[in-house]
Amino acid sequence: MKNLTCQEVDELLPDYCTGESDPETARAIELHAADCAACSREIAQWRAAAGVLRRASMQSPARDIPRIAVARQKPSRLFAVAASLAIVFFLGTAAGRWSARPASPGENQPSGDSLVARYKNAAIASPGTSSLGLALLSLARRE
Amino acid sequence: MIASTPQAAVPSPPLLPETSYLQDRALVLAWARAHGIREDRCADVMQETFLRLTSTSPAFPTRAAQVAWLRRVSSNLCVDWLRQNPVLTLTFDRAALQREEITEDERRGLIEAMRDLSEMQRLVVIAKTVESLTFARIAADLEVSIPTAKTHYRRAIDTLRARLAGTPNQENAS
Repeated sequence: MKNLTCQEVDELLPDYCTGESDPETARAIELHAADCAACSREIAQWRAAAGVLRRASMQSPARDIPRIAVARQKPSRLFAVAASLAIVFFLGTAAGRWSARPASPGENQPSGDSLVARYKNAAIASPGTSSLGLALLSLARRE
Repeated sequence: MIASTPQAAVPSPPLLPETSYLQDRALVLAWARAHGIREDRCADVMQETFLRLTSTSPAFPTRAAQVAWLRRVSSNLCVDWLRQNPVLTLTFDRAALQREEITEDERRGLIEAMRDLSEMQRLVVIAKTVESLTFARIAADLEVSIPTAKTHYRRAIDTLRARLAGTPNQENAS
Protein backbone atom coordinates (compact mmCIF):
# COMPACT_ATOMS: atom_id res chain seq x y z
CA MET A 1 0.00 0.00 0.00
CA LYS A 2 1.34 3.41 -1.00
CA ASN A 3 2.32 5.82 1.76
CA LEU A 4 0.50 9.11 1.25
CA THR A 5 1.81 12.59 1.90
CA CYS A 6 -0.23 15.29 3.65
CA GLN A 7 -0.70 17.02 0.30
CA GLU A 8 -2.10 13.85 -1.26
CA VAL A 9 -4.40 13.27 1.69
CA ASP A 10 -5.69 16.83 1.40
CA GLU A 11 -6.51 16.30 -2.28
CA LEU A 12 -8.38 13.10 -1.46
CA LEU A 13 -10.43 14.58 1.39
CA PRO A 14 -13.62 15.38 -0.59
CA ASP A 15 -13.90 11.75 -1.68
CA TYR A 16 -12.79 10.26 1.63
CA CYS A 17 -14.98 12.39 3.89
CA THR A 18 -18.06 11.70 1.77
CA GLY A 19 -17.48 7.97 1.50
CA GLU A 20 -16.55 7.94 -2.18
CA SER A 21 -13.01 6.70 -1.78
CA ASP A 22 -12.25 3.15 -2.81
CA PRO A 23 -11.39 0.90 0.16
CA GLU A 24 -7.66 0.82 -0.60
CA THR A 25 -7.35 4.62 -0.73
CA ALA A 26 -9.46 4.97 2.40
CA ARG A 27 -7.18 2.55 4.22
CA ALA A 28 -4.08 4.49 3.10
CA ILE A 29 -5.61 7.76 4.34
CA GLU A 30 -6.47 6.20 7.69
CA LEU A 31 -2.93 4.87 8.07
CA HIS A 32 -1.52 8.31 7.34
CA ALA A 33 -4.00 10.04 9.69
CA ALA A 34 -3.09 7.66 12.49
CA ASP A 35 0.41 9.12 12.51
CA CYS A 36 -0.38 12.69 11.43
CA ALA A 37 -2.18 14.89 13.93
CA ALA A 38 -2.74 17.71 11.40
CA CYS A 39 -4.46 15.48 8.84
CA SER A 40 -6.42 13.72 11.56
CA ARG A 41 -7.69 17.08 12.81
CA GLU A 42 -8.47 18.17 9.26
CA ILE A 43 -10.58 15.06 8.65
CA ALA A 44 -12.43 15.54 11.93
CA GLN A 45 -13.23 19.17 11.05
CA TRP A 46 -14.46 18.25 7.58
CA ARG A 47 -16.78 15.62 9.03
CA ALA A 48 -17.99 17.96 11.77
CA ALA A 49 -18.83 20.72 9.28
CA ALA A 50 -20.72 18.36 6.98
CA GLY A 51 -22.42 16.86 10.03
CA VAL A 52 -23.81 20.25 11.09
CA LEU A 53 -25.35 20.75 7.67
CA ARG A 54 -26.76 17.22 7.61
CA ARG A 55 -28.29 17.54 11.08
CA ALA A 56 -29.75 20.93 10.21
CA SER A 57 -31.49 19.41 7.19
CA MET A 58 -33.11 16.76 9.35
CA GLN A 59 -34.20 19.02 12.19
CA SER A 60 -36.42 22.00 12.28
CA PRO A 61 -34.77 25.07 13.84
CA ALA A 62 -36.48 26.71 16.79
CA ARG A 63 -39.11 29.23 15.92
CA ASP A 64 -38.68 32.86 16.81
CA ILE A 65 -40.30 32.47 20.19
CA PRO A 66 -38.07 35.11 21.84
CA ARG A 67 -39.37 37.85 19.57
CA ILE A 68 -42.95 37.04 20.59
CA ALA A 69 -42.01 36.65 24.26
CA VAL A 70 -40.24 40.00 24.32
CA ALA A 71 -43.19 41.67 22.63
CA ARG A 72 -45.57 40.27 25.19
CA GLN A 73 -43.43 41.49 28.07
CA LYS A 74 -43.64 45.10 26.90
CA PRO A 75 -46.41 47.13 28.61
CA SER A 76 -49.00 48.03 26.05
CA ARG A 77 -50.01 51.60 25.22
CA LEU A 78 -53.53 50.83 26.44
CA PHE A 79 -52.13 49.82 29.84
CA ALA A 80 -50.15 53.07 30.11
CA VAL A 81 -53.22 55.19 29.25
CA ALA A 82 -55.39 53.27 31.74
CA ALA A 83 -52.78 53.71 34.49
CA SER A 84 -52.56 57.47 33.82
CA LEU A 85 -56.34 57.83 33.95
CA ALA A 86 -56.47 55.89 37.22
CA ILE A 87 -53.89 58.21 38.80
CA VAL A 88 -55.77 61.30 37.62
CA PHE A 89 -59.06 59.91 38.94
CA PHE A 90 -57.51 59.08 42.32
CA LEU A 91 -55.90 62.51 42.74
CA GLY A 92 -59.04 64.30 41.55
CA THR A 93 -61.21 62.36 43.98
CA ALA A 94 -58.82 63.00 46.86
CA ALA A 95 -58.69 66.72 46.09
CA GLY A 96 -62.50 66.89 45.82
CA ARG A 97 -63.01 65.20 49.17
CA TRP A 98 -60.44 67.46 50.76
CA SER A 99 -62.17 70.60 49.56
CA ALA A 100 -65.69 69.29 50.41
CA ARG A 101 -64.91 68.39 54.00
CA PRO A 102 -66.52 70.56 56.76
CA ALA A 103 -64.57 73.72 57.09
CA SER A 104 -62.81 74.25 60.35
CA PRO A 105 -62.75 77.70 61.89
CA GLY A 106 -60.42 80.03 60.10
CA GLU A 107 -60.27 77.81 57.03
CA ASN A 108 -62.57 79.81 54.75
CA GLN A 109 -59.53 81.40 53.21
CA PRO A 110 -57.12 78.78 51.98
CA SER A 111 -53.93 78.95 53.85
CA GLY A 112 -50.79 79.24 51.84
CA ASP A 113 -49.44 75.80 52.55
CA SER A 114 -52.55 73.57 52.36
CA LEU A 115 -52.73 71.06 49.51
CA VAL A 116 -56.01 72.50 48.15
CA ALA A 117 -54.63 76.00 48.26
CA ARG A 118 -51.57 74.96 46.39
CA TYR A 119 -53.79 73.15 43.87
CA LYS A 120 -55.95 76.23 43.37
CA ASN A 121 -52.93 78.49 43.13
CA ALA A 122 -51.38 76.16 40.58
CA ALA A 123 -54.65 76.22 38.58
CA ILE A 124 -54.63 80.01 38.56
CA ALA A 125 -50.94 80.23 37.79
CA SER A 126 -51.02 77.61 35.03
CA PRO A 127 -54.30 77.81 33.12
CA GLY A 128 -54.93 74.93 30.75
CA THR A 129 -52.86 72.43 32.75
CA SER A 130 -54.43 69.00 33.19
CA SER A 131 -55.66 67.75 36.55
CA LEU A 132 -52.72 65.43 36.83
CA GLY A 133 -50.33 68.26 36.09
CA LEU A 134 -51.97 70.53 38.67
CA ALA A 135 -51.87 67.76 41.27
CA LEU A 136 -48.22 67.19 40.66
CA LEU A 137 -47.51 70.91 40.72
CA SER A 138 -49.36 71.35 44.00
CA LEU A 139 -47.51 68.44 45.55
CA ALA A 140 -44.17 69.73 44.39
CA ARG A 141 -44.68 73.43 45.12
CA ARG A 142 -44.10 74.55 48.66
CA GLU A 143 -44.82 78.16 49.38
CA MET B 1 -30.87 11.78 4.86
CA ILE B 2 -33.43 12.05 2.11
CA ALA B 3 -32.90 10.19 -1.13
CA SER B 4 -33.83 11.92 -4.34
CA THR B 5 -34.36 10.13 -7.62
CA PRO B 6 -32.08 7.09 -7.88
CA GLN B 7 -29.55 7.19 -10.65
CA ALA B 8 -30.87 5.08 -13.48
CA ALA B 9 -29.30 3.89 -16.69
CA VAL B 10 -32.15 5.39 -18.69
CA PRO B 11 -33.01 8.94 -17.62
CA SER B 12 -36.52 9.06 -16.20
CA PRO B 13 -38.95 11.69 -17.49
CA PRO B 14 -39.89 14.68 -15.33
CA LEU B 15 -42.99 14.50 -13.16
CA LEU B 16 -46.08 16.66 -13.42
CA PRO B 17 -45.96 19.60 -10.97
CA GLU B 18 -48.67 18.05 -8.79
CA THR B 19 -46.86 14.71 -8.62
CA SER B 20 -43.54 16.44 -8.03
CA TYR B 21 -45.09 18.36 -5.13
CA LEU B 22 -46.26 15.15 -3.49
CA GLN B 23 -42.97 13.37 -4.07
CA ASP B 24 -40.40 16.14 -3.59
CA ARG B 25 -41.79 18.44 -0.91
CA ALA B 26 -39.98 16.61 1.93
CA LEU B 27 -36.76 16.95 -0.03
CA VAL B 28 -37.29 20.67 -0.64
CA LEU B 29 -38.00 21.15 3.08
CA ALA B 30 -34.76 19.34 3.93
CA TRP B 31 -32.82 21.56 1.52
CA ALA B 32 -34.34 24.66 3.11
CA ARG B 33 -33.56 23.43 6.62
CA ALA B 34 -29.95 22.85 5.59
CA HIS B 35 -29.67 26.63 5.20
CA GLY B 36 -30.41 27.04 8.92
CA ILE B 37 -33.57 29.09 8.44
CA ARG B 38 -36.70 28.96 10.59
CA GLU B 39 -39.19 26.15 10.13
CA ASP B 40 -42.07 28.44 9.14
CA ARG B 41 -39.83 30.06 6.52
CA CYS B 42 -38.80 26.60 5.26
CA ALA B 43 -42.47 25.90 4.59
CA ASP B 44 -42.76 29.24 2.76
CA VAL B 45 -39.74 28.39 0.62
CA MET B 46 -41.21 24.99 -0.20
CA GLN B 47 -44.53 26.53 -1.25
CA GLU B 48 -42.88 29.29 -3.27
CA THR B 49 -40.67 26.75 -5.05
CA PHE B 50 -43.63 24.65 -6.19
CA LEU B 51 -45.62 27.76 -7.01
CA ARG B 52 -42.87 28.74 -9.42
CA LEU B 53 -42.75 25.23 -10.82
CA THR B 54 -46.48 25.37 -11.49
CA SER B 55 -46.65 28.92 -12.77
CA THR B 56 -43.59 28.87 -15.03
CA SER B 57 -43.94 25.24 -16.16
CA PRO B 58 -40.33 24.87 -17.29
CA ALA B 59 -39.62 22.05 -19.74
CA PHE B 60 -37.16 19.58 -18.20
CA PRO B 61 -35.39 17.01 -20.34
CA THR B 62 -35.13 14.54 -17.45
CA ARG B 63 -36.34 13.99 -13.92
CA ALA B 64 -32.81 14.72 -12.65
CA ALA B 65 -32.95 18.13 -14.32
CA GLN B 66 -36.29 18.78 -12.62
CA VAL B 67 -34.82 17.93 -9.19
CA ALA B 68 -31.78 20.09 -9.91
CA TRP B 69 -34.09 23.00 -10.82
CA LEU B 70 -36.02 22.57 -7.56
CA ARG B 71 -32.76 22.48 -5.61
CA ARG B 72 -31.48 25.64 -7.27
CA VAL B 73 -34.71 27.63 -6.88
CA SER B 74 -35.27 26.66 -3.25
CA SER B 75 -31.65 27.38 -2.32
CA ASN B 76 -31.78 30.80 -3.97
CA LEU B 77 -35.03 31.61 -2.16
CA CYS B 78 -33.42 30.63 1.16
CA VAL B 79 -30.36 32.78 0.57
CA ASP B 80 -32.45 35.74 -0.63
CA TRP B 81 -34.33 35.56 2.64
CA LEU B 82 -31.13 35.16 4.71
CA ARG B 83 -29.56 38.20 3.06
CA GLN B 84 -32.62 40.33 3.79
CA ASN B 85 -33.15 39.27 7.40
CA PRO B 86 -30.83 39.51 10.38
CA VAL B 87 -30.05 36.42 12.37
CA LEU B 88 -31.93 36.22 15.60
CA THR B 89 -29.56 36.39 18.54
CA LEU B 90 -31.80 35.87 21.57
CA THR B 91 -33.15 32.51 22.56
CA PHE B 92 -35.23 31.90 25.64
CA ASP B 93 -36.85 28.67 24.50
CA ARG B 94 -34.55 26.37 26.47
CA ALA B 95 -36.73 23.32 25.94
CA ALA B 96 -36.59 23.79 22.18
CA LEU B 97 -32.83 24.17 22.35
CA GLN B 98 -32.50 20.93 24.26
CA ARG B 99 -34.57 19.14 21.64
CA GLU B 100 -32.35 20.42 18.85
CA GLU B 101 -29.19 18.58 18.05
CA ILE B 102 -27.81 21.61 16.26
CA THR B 103 -26.86 24.40 18.65
CA GLU B 104 -27.64 28.08 18.20
CA ASP B 105 -23.96 28.81 17.54
CA GLU B 106 -23.85 26.11 14.88
CA ARG B 107 -27.02 27.45 13.29
CA ARG B 108 -25.62 30.97 13.22
CA GLY B 109 -22.38 29.71 11.66
CA LEU B 110 -24.37 27.72 9.10
CA ILE B 111 -26.47 30.76 8.15
CA GLU B 112 -23.41 32.98 7.81
CA ALA B 113 -21.67 30.37 5.68
CA MET B 114 -24.71 29.98 3.43
CA ARG B 115 -24.77 33.75 2.93
CA ASP B 116 -21.12 33.68 1.90
CA LEU B 117 -21.21 30.71 -0.46
CA SER B 118 -21.63 31.04 -4.20
CA GLU B 119 -24.66 29.42 -5.78
CA MET B 120 -22.63 26.48 -7.12
CA GLN B 121 -20.92 25.89 -3.77
CA ARG B 122 -24.31 25.88 -2.03
CA LEU B 123 -25.87 23.49 -4.51
CA VAL B 124 -22.95 21.05 -4.37
CA VAL B 125 -22.72 20.97 -0.58
CA ILE B 126 -26.48 20.60 -0.17
CA ALA B 127 -26.73 17.83 -2.75
CA LYS B 128 -23.80 16.06 -1.13
CA THR B 129 -24.80 16.32 2.52
CA VAL B 130 -28.59 16.20 2.31
CA GLU B 131 -28.98 13.66 -0.48
CA SER B 132 -25.55 11.98 -0.46
CA LEU B 133 -25.34 12.19 -4.24
CA THR B 134 -22.04 11.19 -5.84
CA PHE B 135 -19.78 13.89 -7.22
CA ALA B 136 -20.35 12.40 -10.67
CA ARG B 137 -24.11 12.82 -10.35
CA ILE B 138 -23.82 16.35 -8.91
CA ALA B 139 -21.43 17.33 -11.69
CA ALA B 140 -23.88 16.03 -14.28
CA ASP B 141 -26.80 17.89 -12.67
CA LEU B 142 -24.87 21.15 -12.57
CA GLU B 143 -23.20 20.62 -15.95
CA VAL B 144 -19.68 20.97 -14.55
CA SER B 145 -16.72 18.58 -14.41
CA ILE B 146 -16.25 16.24 -11.44
CA PRO B 147 -13.05 18.01 -10.22
CA THR B 148 -14.94 21.32 -10.36
CA ALA B 149 -17.74 19.86 -8.25
CA LYS B 150 -15.16 18.63 -5.75
CA THR B 151 -13.52 22.05 -5.66
CA HIS B 152 -16.91 23.68 -4.95
CA TYR B 153 -17.49 21.17 -2.16
CA ARG B 154 -14.05 21.79 -0.67
CA ARG B 155 -14.54 25.57 -0.63
CA ALA B 156 -18.03 25.24 0.83
CA ILE B 157 -16.76 23.01 3.64
CA ASP B 158 -13.82 25.35 4.27
CA THR B 159 -16.21 28.31 4.57
CA LEU B 160 -18.52 26.37 6.86
CA ARG B 161 -15.59 25.30 9.05
CA ALA B 162 -14.35 28.87 9.29
CA ARG B 163 -17.82 30.17 10.20
CA LEU B 164 -18.34 27.46 12.79
CA ALA B 165 -14.98 28.42 14.29
CA GLY B 166 -16.13 32.04 14.37
CA THR B 167 -13.87 33.42 11.65
CA PRO B 168 -14.78 34.25 8.05
CA ASN B 169 -13.07 32.27 5.32
CA GLN B 170 -10.75 34.82 3.71
CA GLU B 171 -10.34 32.83 0.50
CA ASN B 172 -14.05 32.60 -0.16
CA ALA B 173 -14.81 36.10 1.10
CA SER B 174 -12.44 37.69 -1.37
